[in-house]
Amino acid sequence: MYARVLTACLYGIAGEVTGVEVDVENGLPGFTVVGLANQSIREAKERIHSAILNSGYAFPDKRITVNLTPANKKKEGSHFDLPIAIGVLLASGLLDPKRDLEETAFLGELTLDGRISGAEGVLPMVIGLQKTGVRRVIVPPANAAEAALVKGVDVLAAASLQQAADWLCGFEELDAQAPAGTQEAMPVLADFSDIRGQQAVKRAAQVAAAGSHGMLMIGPPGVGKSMVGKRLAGILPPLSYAEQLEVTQIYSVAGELKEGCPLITYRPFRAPHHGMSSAALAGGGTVPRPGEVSLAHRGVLFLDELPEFSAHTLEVLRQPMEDGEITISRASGRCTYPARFMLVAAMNPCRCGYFGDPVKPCTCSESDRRKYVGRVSGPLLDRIDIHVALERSSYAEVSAENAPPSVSSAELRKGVEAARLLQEERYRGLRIRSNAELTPLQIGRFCRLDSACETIMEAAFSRYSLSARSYHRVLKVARTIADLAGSAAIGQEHLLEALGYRLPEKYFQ
Amino acid sequence: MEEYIYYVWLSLVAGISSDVKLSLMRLFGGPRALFEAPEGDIIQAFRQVTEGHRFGQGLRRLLERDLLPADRAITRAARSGSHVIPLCSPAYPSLLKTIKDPPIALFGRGDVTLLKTRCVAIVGTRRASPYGRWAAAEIARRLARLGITIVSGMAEGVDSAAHEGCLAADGKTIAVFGTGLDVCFPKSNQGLCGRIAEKGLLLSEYAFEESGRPEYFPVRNRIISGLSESCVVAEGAVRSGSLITAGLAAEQGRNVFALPGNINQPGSAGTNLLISEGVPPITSLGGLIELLGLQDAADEVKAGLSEAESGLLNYVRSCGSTSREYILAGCGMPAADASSLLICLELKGLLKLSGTQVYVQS
Repeated sequence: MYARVLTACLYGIAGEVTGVEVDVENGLPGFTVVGLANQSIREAKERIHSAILNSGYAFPDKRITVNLTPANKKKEGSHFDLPIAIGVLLASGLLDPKRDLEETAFLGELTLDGRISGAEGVLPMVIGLQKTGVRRVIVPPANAAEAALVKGVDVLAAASLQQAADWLCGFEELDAQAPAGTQEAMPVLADFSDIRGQQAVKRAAQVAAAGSHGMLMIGPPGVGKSMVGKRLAGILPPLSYAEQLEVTQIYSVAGELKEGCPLITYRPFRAPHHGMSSAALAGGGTVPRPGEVSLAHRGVLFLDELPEFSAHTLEVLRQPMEDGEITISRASGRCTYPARFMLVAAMNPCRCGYFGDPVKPCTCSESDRRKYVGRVSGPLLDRIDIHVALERSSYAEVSAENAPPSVSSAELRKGVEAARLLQEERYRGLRIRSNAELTPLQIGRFCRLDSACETIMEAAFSRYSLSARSYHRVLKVARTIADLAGSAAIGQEHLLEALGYRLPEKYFQ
Repeated sequence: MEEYIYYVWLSLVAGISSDVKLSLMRLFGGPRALFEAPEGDIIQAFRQVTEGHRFGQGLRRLLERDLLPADRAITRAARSGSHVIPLCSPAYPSLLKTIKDPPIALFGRGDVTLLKTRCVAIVGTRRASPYGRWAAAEIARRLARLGITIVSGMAEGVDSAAHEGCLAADGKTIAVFGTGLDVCFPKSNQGLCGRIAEKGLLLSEYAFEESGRPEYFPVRNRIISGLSESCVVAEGAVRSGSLITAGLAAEQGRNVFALPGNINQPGSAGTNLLISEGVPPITSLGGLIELLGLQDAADEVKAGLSEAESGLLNYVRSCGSTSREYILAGCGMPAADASSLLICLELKGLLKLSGTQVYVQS
């Protein structure tokens, strides 16, 4: 006898519908899975055998053939256990289905005693199923909350194979998982008001956040570069629901969703260690998985001690910084993950860290220093819009009593949100959302300079020997500063401030 | 012209200092006579000049009387468009002739007429602080505008800053090498080296392909100070090449000026020591220009500043050169406005921002 059950499979972060065909015939007992299944699916045979027996059914002593369609695409994942087991039960005539199988999909991994345990990537798979017209999904209880985020699909959680089979035969109803509840509040992050003094870098951070610009901080150890980096995610505007789903899908694929917190509602902040490999940053592995650049999608990727990262690792950043996505090619296939993050990097000006410090002498030789900063390639520096040098605060600034009240994250975020709103309005209908994403052509359209600004730009060109790329960079940042000021046109003061965020030649000559 | 090859020969004999070479030359009445003299006479003269000092290797090389290196150097000079300037040449800088150990021959690439102009040397440490670099560049720029040629050694730090500052003002500059002219040291100054060859002059007493030795660099410092009527020491530790140059300059009777610095900074300890020993400090750029007996050119027009701009400029002046953060905290303006005004003043050439520091220009 023949049976067909629907399930899904992941390709990158896109879920696609997959059919499980099962045929049970008389013949020498055997169990074959065809249709480019990977090792974890082929091993499913053993789990399914035990799970069916331990759920109180007899395992058919017949010739069983399982085909996964479309047969020409590679498939992987342990969530094929449940649909295959249901298919075997149906095809051997042990179940009498009372529900419409064409509108129902099954996802879930089986344990040997017949319970259904959680799987990875359920959210994107359910999104894919919903798009192809599937109305109902049976998922593991562990993934129910995550799957319920998708609108237009009934999500039913089955705890065991027995329960799923009983539901199919109409003996029992399964509880529908309610759609995700209210958004949880932004987690309490460290606040900018914790940082005393350092007005220049705080302002730079606000500008960077307002236009989603990359930012590089250079300064001696202990001045607060990491503090600023960690507080940056907190001044970004909240994610929209569409963005939340985008980010959650990536985390679902990476298996990084925490139970009880199905939807990622706040901007990700990723701070990978500098010893990481390029595959960990970009994504990879024999079966590609999203890396840090994708996990930081719509959020902040913070790279502390930038020159300590291997050159090879850093070069990985170039594609996602240009395109907002990253393509990984492996023997098992090619996939593209979204990776539109805000890069925030910090570095010392030299190995000892005190080059240019007014009090503490630097112990590095000139050539050592050049070698150290030279580890960050020019093309990468070129793609970072905002550069800012930090210095040590004086005692008066650090000691809390005498210090003037420091600007708080909430205040900074207010400006950022207003500026982002202006940008969304302006770029409606275009494929970009922020000033950082402007292409040179769009810069010509949106970043017009009046004659007074042209004069300044001309003077700056010769004074600072700007390149064509840095010219565009200055214009983009000036646009953001004008947005922060709520101004429709770029004014002289906006352009001048933007010029202050170019690469400090002192460190990179 | 034929005489030149003997000058070059004598100059390129390694292991004998220039003052000994000069005495020998005078004793025999010229390098050619020295070259053609019998061996015994040379040995005797050598003993007499060096007062018994042993110059084993140097004497042996002198007695070999090998013209090949000199010939090669002259050919190389002709091919590369460089100049050979022996002591007897009218192009030889007259001020350099007056020191006790002038090079017997010089090789130059670029504009040799600069050797006849008024020169001021700017020397200092390779590990210069941002302040030292700024000061070197600014002094060079200001003096270059007054037509002074800036002489330095093209090392990292202060030397490079001085050359760069001079070139930025379209001024004339001379770089004296401790290597041959075909060797750019340090390599990181390749670009600077090319620009000086184009607009200024590269000078060396060594054969073109000579890759230099550590002891050559202090020796070439006598040329830097010897070419110049005054010598500015921008920064230097207590025991450093910069202080050696300052000592040589004083010995040669040049005016020496020292840039006072931060007492915490090892790089300023040397210059502060010089000042305590009586070397005049540079208290202002205008003062230095006056000390050199020059008339300061009218500076760029400072008019046309808005009220806010001149207010901030006055505030920065009142703080002296200080850090950006200090100015942002104390100027009473929002950080964003103050930042854009600082850039505006920098574009007008009144301030210089370097990393986190702000300097007042002129």
